[in-house]
Amino acid sequence: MGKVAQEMVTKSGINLKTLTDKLIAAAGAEFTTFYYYTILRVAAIGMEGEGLKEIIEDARIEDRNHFEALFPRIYELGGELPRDIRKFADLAGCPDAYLPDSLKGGKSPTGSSLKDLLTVLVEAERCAVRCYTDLCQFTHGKDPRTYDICAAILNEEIEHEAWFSEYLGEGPSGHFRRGKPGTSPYVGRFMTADHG
Amino acid sequence: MAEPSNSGPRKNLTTCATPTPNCAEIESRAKQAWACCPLQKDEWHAALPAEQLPVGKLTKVWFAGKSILLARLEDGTPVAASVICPHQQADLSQGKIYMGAVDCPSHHYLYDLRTGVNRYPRDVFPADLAAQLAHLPLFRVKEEDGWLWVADRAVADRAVADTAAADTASADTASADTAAADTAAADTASDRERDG
Repeated sequence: MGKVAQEMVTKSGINLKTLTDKLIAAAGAEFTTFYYYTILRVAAIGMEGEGLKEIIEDARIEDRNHFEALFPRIYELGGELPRDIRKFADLAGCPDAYLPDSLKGGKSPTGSSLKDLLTVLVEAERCAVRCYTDLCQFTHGKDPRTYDICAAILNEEIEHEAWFSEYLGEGPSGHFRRGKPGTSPYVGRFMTADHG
Repeated sequence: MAEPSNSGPRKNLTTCATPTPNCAEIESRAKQAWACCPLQKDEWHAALPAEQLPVGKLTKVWFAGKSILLARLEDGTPVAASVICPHQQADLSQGKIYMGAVDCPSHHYLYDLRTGVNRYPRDVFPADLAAQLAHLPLFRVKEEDGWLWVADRAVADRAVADTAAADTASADTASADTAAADTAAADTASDRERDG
């Protein structure tokens, strides 16, 4: 842990416990989303679902990358991940992205299982956008390192939201696909592990 | 916490007629003579000078022995709700307003501030889990004589009750659908076994 790094953050007026709690919640959301997106990607089959697979995979791997970029900062600031992964999942800052009922033979709220799937995905990304907007506003002008990490993640979450929103016909994003899934063009510089 | 000045409408600066044991402490914290007084049906209390609640702002005021969330939506409409998130009791006054809903800072659940209905994750959760999501209790609020006035929550409770009834119906339908699907799958398996 970095004593001076922590002191600078505290002196800027940020409550370290509040900040690390927010970061742990964000990391928990990335970790659980990575898990749930695995299930959602597996379920994306059929004539239309196949087209979604790669884009879900891209968001899935980049969410894992976000976890990788976040957790060192938690420890730098004197925080730590919960010992029990069950507690970690409960602390996640966004709700679980469950497989929609319609993909298990149940009723479809939108009338299309594919649209249900996309709605789960786009709302999960919107939750992440709110989460990192909050973190950016909380650290802006006070903790530049945490701010930079969160702003980089926010950039990718906004793109993820736009991809799924575009599939739902909510308007063009102007984006083009990544070179390969999990590229993390913004967050990559904060990662020490190979990220594809 | 907002602390409205005592120069509010005279009729609301009377002492509570039914004080509770901790009334003095509550009144002291809120600097309002009636802050601990239970809300009576159809009885309006001045909560905050209207000018202290700009568009998009959330604030917390003491009222009826507890804190209440006041917010002003984008069209200028003031709303009042419980400040405690029904999910895990987070303080909603630390959240933000997104498209007419309060975004809980803890897990980013969204509650519609006009109806109290959980908007997210209710719209993406499986029906059985969605039916378990509690709604946000609302209070009646009006703007008059430069003040925001709050009264009991009977109107909002009816709206929430209607939504809860719809949720239950939806969950029942989903359960029936799932049961039907399970039965069909079991029949198919049975047929295969018999044929096999």
